[in-house]
Amino acid sequence: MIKVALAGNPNCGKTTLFNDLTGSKQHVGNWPGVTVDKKEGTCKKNKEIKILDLPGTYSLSPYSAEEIVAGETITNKNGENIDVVLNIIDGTSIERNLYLTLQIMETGIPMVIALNMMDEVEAQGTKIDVDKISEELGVTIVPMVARSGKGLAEVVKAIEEVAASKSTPKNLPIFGEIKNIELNAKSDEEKEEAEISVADIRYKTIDDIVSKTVKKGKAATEVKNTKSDKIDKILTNRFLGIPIFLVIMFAMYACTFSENFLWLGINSPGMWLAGVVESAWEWVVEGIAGLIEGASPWIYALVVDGILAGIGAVLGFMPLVLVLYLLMSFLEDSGYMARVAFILDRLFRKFGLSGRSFIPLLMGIGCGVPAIMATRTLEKEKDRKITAIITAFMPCGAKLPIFAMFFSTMFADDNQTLLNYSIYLVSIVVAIVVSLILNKLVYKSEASNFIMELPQYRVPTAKSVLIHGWEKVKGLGKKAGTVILFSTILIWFLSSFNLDSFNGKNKEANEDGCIMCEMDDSFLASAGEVIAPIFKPLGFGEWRPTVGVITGWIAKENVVVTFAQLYEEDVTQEYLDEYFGAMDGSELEELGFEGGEYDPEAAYDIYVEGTLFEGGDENALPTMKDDIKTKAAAYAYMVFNLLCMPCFAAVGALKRELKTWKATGFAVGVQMLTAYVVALLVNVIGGLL
Amino acid sequence: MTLRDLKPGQSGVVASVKGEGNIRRRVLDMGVTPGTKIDVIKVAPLGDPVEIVLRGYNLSLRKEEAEAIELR
Repeated sequence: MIKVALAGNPNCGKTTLFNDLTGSKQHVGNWPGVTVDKKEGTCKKNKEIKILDLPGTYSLSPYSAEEIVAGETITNKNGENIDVVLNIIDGTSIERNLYLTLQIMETGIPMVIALNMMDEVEAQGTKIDVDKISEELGVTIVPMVARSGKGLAEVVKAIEEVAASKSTPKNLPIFGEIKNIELNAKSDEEKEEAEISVADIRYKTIDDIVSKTVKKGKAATEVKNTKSDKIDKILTNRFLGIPIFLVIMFAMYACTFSENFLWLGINSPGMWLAGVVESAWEWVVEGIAGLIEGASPWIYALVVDGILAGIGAVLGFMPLVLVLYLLMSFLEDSGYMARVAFILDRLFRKFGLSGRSFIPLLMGIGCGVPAIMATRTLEKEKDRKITAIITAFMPCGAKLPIFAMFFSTMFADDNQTLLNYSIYLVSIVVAIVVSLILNKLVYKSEASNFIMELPQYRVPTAKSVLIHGWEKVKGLGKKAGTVILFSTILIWFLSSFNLDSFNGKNKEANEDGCIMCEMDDSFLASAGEVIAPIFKPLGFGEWRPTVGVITGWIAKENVVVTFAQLYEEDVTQEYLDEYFGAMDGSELEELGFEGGEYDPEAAYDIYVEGTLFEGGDENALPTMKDDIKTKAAAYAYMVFNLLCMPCFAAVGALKRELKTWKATGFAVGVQMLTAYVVALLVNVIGGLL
Repeated sequence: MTLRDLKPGQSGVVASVKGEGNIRRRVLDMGVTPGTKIDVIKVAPLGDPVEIVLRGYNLSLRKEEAEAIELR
């Protein structure tokens, strides 16, 4: 077996080459301890060749997590046992790309160079004497076009040859010189000098080689006149840059989450696909439910309300992740994402974030799951971690029913628009403050900088965009799926059983002999009683609101469903008959009663998921006011649900992005603490007003 | 004079690179070494960072980072 490490600068076509070489047979894991993807695959053309995709880096200096990983792998310090390094370089910016090449050569590992973007090099009119460079470096160089797959067979052949001959690159005289300089630098001052000299020596060598072998075409030497520069004149224009960015963001949001796509009255592709998957899944659930109807009630409930509901939760998010990720990969591969950071850096650095953090934060208003997964496209590890944590503070679609219910009942006389805005304001302010605190306290050692390449604009290939999207969906299913499934089943168990389930008392008491119990007698209710006092200072220290918080972790809108269940004396059949009885046919039809006919059996579901979710009944749940007495307490409760641990699906996404349980636990801890502190402030200050 | 003093459309040649360790190393790695010609292309809409061209590619950096790059 030949183990090949694929190394190269960001934006040089490395991912495209990796996809070309391995096809869809990829395994995405992670490097220990860092949020950097580790992709491995088997070469399609030669199954003996295993390819490890290193993160894109400009150098091997231990500067970022990506560079440390790449450096350790190439020097075989982390046990990957690499035989050959395949170094891909972008022919259109050959000087900067050769810098990494020289560093790899210095390690003395056998290597092959894939000289990519040869089509663009030709279009620029640039001539590269490939044989001459190859001779200078003592490395086989294969000219290629990764986007079209041209030169791929030659790359594989070169790898086979170098692996067999084990020939190492030429030991250039400068390598010894560099080693001497580095060894002789003792004091900090000398080390600083040494760094400049070393970089200088490498680039001088490169300049020397390039001057002998590359004849730059007219298009490559004229500044500001390439196609890319012309596009940039508009997209990062002083006046148009930000409006265009906002339009693109709006379009992205609309494509993924909108229920009224481009005001056409239809669902966006994301919501449409989510609807299709949901109906298909409902059909499957009905089928399975039909099969096990005869089973004992608790097994039936375990399968339907526990396992299938958990799988359904994962499936429900997949279309949104897919659509958002297709769009994001498109922006990433086209080169626009780097401009987003360029345009917004000034604003976001004040908050200790990157300009790119805007995208996950905005998408978090739709749904936190794809939004958290989108943090992967951020450049720096620190930004990825902080953005993932604060994205969960956004008022996602599933949190809206909670606000609607409280606004309509507890704040009926207040300005509803202002109240709505206030929620968005709270989440933005809290996100900024938490980011600043995390920057100060947790990630203070990581200096912020903005030295970033602005790559040429390129039309992304459909293949690479699709592979990106598919990888994300698979990642959600595999990595986050287990978290979501397990926690959903756990909460289901706690809310449906109590001690009497296991000593036969429930079996005797229930007519159908079922061992389960109502939620208000369950373990969860008892747990609520125990936990509730913690929330006393926040104004809602009663067991029913506490249980609401917990069931909200399955999905945030469950807070409302649970309230309807627990304040059952307020949602009686008589109440529903009376409430809906006062409505005329068209009102009933609008709420979802078929043909505008009142149907007592459908009333409960329509009341909860129509009326309560939308805040339609000002007099709903009067008993709730015994538990949550004041406006301050109600607002504190909303804020707590807004900021505390997101739903399990989002926690699963967090686990996938942050990699370790420790980091995920830390993130959830930060969210819980934030929720508690802010809700406490709301209740105390609100109580004084 | 430093890179920060250049306006869009102007160009200069690097004399030396100062600044904090990690950031200086990154600047050097990206090819900003003594003798390199740099063209300033534009300033971002909010006034910072700036976009420059060197060694045939486009790079962006903040003004405070540009200040550490001394020109001849």
